[in-house]
Amino acid sequence: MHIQRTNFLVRFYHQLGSPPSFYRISGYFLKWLLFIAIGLTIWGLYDGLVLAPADYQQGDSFRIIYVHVPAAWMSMFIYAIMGVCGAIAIIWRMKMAEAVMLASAPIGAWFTVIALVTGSLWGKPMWGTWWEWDARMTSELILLFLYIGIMATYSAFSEDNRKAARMAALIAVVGVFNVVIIHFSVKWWSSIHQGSTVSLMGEQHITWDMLRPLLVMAFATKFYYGYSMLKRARVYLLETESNKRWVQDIVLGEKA
Amino acid sequence: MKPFLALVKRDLTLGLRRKSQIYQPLVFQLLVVTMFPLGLGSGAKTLALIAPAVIWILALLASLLTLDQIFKNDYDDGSVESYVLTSYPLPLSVMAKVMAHWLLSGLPLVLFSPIIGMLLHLPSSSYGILMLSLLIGTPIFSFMGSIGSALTMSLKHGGLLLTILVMPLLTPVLIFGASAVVESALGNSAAQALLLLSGLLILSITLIPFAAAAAIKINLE
Amino acid sequence: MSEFFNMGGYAFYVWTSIGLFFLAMLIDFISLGMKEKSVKRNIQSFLRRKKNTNK
Repeated sequence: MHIQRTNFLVRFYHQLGSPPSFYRISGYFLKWLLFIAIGLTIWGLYDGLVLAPADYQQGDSFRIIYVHVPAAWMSMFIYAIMGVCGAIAIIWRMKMAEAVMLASAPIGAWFTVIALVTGSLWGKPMWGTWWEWDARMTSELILLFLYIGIMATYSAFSEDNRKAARMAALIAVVGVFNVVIIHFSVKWWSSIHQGSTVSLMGEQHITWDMLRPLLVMAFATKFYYGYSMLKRARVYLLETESNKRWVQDIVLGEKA
Repeated sequence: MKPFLALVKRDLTLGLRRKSQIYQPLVFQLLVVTMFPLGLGSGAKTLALIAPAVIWILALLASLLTLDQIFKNDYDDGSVESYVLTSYPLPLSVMAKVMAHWLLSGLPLVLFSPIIGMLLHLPSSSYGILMLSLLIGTPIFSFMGSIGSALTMSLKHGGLLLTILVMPLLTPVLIFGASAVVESALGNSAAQALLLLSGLLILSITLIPFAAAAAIKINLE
Repeated sequence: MSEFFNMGGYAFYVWTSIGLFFLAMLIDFISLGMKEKSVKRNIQSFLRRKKNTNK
């Protein structure tokens, strides 16, 4: 068969768009994503907890950033991805976009919970309370509600998967617009109601020794997200296409 | 313009005949506001301090009571499908529905708010700002609610889901609205908060009808 | 070594944070595996039933 070279990207795009080849291609990546995620986590945490020097103001408590900040970054990053995939799912009705969007929600919600709880654990020794209505923590909490809303929408329409997915996609798109507004309104609110509180990622100059583990952890969480999202998307495809031949071949090919 | 007005008029006649959509949110507000002095003590100072927030949160909760009605009845009797099928643009029909909903349950909240303010010892000099902020803010509740209602109209018990979906999206409205009243009670200018609130209203008018129309189409598939 | 675990007096806060991070990832990982298994098992039993009724 004659395949033109210029068609490679187009072909790759169409392959990702079709569930069977998405399932096959993502299968090659899964194990590696998990290995890299675990490897980077070990490196990042060793670097951050053992090698990095203690902060001159916050002492060793600042080491919480090595899980708090990557989790907070991921919570927003994943929400943005969900918004983009949600838009694609609504406009072009691409099934893969639905799968990616839905598969991102649980892991995104987990990262939001981690960011909230570790922020609170850092707040106790630094602010003296478990919870402060600080702008970042407040927007993070609202973000958690948005994640819950998306998952609740999907499960409310469980009798029709595709409809449920598109409903959830719409909420994700509306939410992405709103997250920006919510973020700025909360910032505005905290600027008139209180002076700026000390933040976990304050204005202090961070040295390379402190920054490096943070970046490593940021990559580690991205790789774990990749693993978790792809695997969930694959399960979603199996579930929703269970009457199709390719799913039955895969499932029957494995032992019970 | 004609189908638009006809739709608004139809909803108003239906709403005025039923009446529950109009007075029940007000009764709810009055009931909850009675609980505050009972739970908090009747000190005028304490009440005045929390008044702006309480009035705005009450307006939000009272709106949430009726938001699922925007499309629910129309879905049950099948008229939502006629909005989709006619040549009249669906976003405009959404706008008409939202407008009727606001006239029936938002506007009464605005007009009633000085009474709630009086019960909570809000300084009477802030009544004007209070009503103005609610006048700008409550339509946003109805607009946002139209998305929620369009999504949940086919569910039997969609009320709680609608609350979970809509409430976090309305936090900016609450922030700007309540702080406008707080500022005016303190004797400061409320202009900044009111302008930001107006910005939200303009965004809602231009964007939300399209989102709600998309939600209706997905839901009817 | 004990100095490392002590975290300058912040041991509880730091180690709980790290622990929760791993706990959340572990829950996600395990629930994923369980979900995959149950979906595959459902499809398998569905196919088996279909095969039996066709005979």
